[in-house]
Amino acid sequence: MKQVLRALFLLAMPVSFLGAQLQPKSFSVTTRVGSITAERAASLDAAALLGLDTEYALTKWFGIGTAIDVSRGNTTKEDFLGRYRYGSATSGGGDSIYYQYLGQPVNTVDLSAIGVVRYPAERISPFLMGGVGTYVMLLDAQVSNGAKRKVALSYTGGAGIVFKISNSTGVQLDARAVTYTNYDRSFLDPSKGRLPNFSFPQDFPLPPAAKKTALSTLLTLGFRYIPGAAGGKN
Amino acid sequence: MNSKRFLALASVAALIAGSACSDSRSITTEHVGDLGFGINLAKQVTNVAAGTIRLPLAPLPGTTANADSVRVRVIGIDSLTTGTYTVWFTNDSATKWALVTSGDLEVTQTDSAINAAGDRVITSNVTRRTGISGWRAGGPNKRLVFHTTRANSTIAATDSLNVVVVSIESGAPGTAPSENRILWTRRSDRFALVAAVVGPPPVPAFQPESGSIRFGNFKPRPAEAFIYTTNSANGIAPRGRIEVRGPIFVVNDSNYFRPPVGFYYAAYLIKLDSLNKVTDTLYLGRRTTPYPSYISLYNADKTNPDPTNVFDNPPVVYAMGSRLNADTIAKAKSSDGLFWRDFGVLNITLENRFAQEGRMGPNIITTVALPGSIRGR
Repeated sequence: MKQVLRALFLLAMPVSFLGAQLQPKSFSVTTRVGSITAERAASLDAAALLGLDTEYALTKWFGIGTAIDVSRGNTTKEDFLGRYRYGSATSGGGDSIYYQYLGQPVNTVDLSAIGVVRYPAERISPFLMGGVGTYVMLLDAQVSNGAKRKVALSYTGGAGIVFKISNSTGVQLDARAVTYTNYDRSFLDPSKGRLPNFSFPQDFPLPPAAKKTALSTLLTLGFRYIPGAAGGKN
Repeated sequence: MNSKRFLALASVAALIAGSACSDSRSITTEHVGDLGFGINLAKQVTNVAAGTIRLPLAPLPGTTANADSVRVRVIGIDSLTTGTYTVWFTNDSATKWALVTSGDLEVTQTDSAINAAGDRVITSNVTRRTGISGWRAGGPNKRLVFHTTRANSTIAATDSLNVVVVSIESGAPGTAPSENRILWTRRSDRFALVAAVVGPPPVPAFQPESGSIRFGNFKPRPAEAFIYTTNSANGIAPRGRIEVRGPIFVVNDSNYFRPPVGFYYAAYLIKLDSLNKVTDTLYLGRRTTPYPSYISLYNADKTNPDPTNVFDNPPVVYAMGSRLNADTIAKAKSSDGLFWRDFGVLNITLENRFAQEGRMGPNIITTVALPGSIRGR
């Protein structure tokens, strides 16, 4: 994973040297790298994230666009304990039981339509953004015994700042909160509840109570590029 | 933007992404913690109170003492420390109670031993007491016969004797038995007459004036009585499972009849030597509801401590659980540091409140021989 991030980071670097700041009736593209951290009840470990924002500036204050966030993280394996039994439960020899954490990688893609409100300034432009979209969670096909996918609505809200490098480039730092609706933690359980730990429940940490939504926090650093920007000020 | 500023921002990005990456894989194939070993419990179909009661030939006084004879034959009752088994006569609807004031008790104790040749030797010892109004004797190896007559009771000559009840009285008996009316036979429960068979050999028949003992909670109306049984009546058959993991020993079982009034469920572990001879008995305590509540079921004979796990109708304890830690039980940890070593049998028992707690009674409801993975050999 670290090598992948390093390669993407290097790919994004040249964008920062092209220079720009957004003009009305113009497009911008922002590539982002960062992290996504889900709330504990979601049973997802923190993961690296890649994002791509496209924005069309209706005015110098307001723009609309799309945002795609892609992450490949792991489930919190301690939340998915499997109990395996071997042998005969009724014969003289009895049976043997062992416990195993049933974690798996999860690919998550969140696609949103966003609106952005900016305060244009000479060097640093703060902004607020919000959006609605859909998220797709794809489980590991081998661990989950087949392709499993979950699709549902998501909401995004966040804020950030853009540091102007040139008229066509900038660096963006932002924090976003994404809420996955209709969230079902049991979807992440490869055993689907078939291997419950009913004998020693207090000997293993219990996951927090499941929720119908999952809130994730995104911290990303982006490189912003405005194609065709030809000087001027915000 | 100068190169230093750019490098600083790049470092921030790398830190953010790096902190989100982890070298630990979510997919694991290794087990977590100690291995567990387990086995299912098996239903024990014997050892609950059973026997017969011979009633007088007729409800009203007969012309001979033999015609008015009452004989209680019972096994599977525990010896008492605080109460007394007391016999009562009553009519069909139990509106009039008569206390048996005198009778003779014969206790047959059967023991077995292994002689020098390795053979089992069984011996019986009979003890008789006369003119007693009640008794405390009992135990897993004792058969008791209490003989009395109608004349040795307070029943009026004009009253019908259609039911014989054995209760446990904690003090001097009153005018009616206590709530612990645990054994009884009605005249209507008598065995059916066996048709005569022509020609030898003679067919041994049940005595038609006798009937099987009912064990449970006596009620005047037969339909309201609760008869404790282990014969899977109504599809209610106890079952369960034990598992050991490190020092922790858990018992999860279900589907027991609620205990009759005056009884409760308990668990015992029996330690065996290399010849499978009993060397020790470890009392595991009164049973409770399972995780996470662990509510005591000691009073489940009269009250419902947890409607989630104890049903009123049918009278069933749906689930019980016990969790024991060898670290807190000295007998469970052997000198070599192993847990539960040499414990070979687990019994779930029905215990009498009036008997000594911690001494295993005769009524074993479920049992299991622990496998070598737990026993250590």
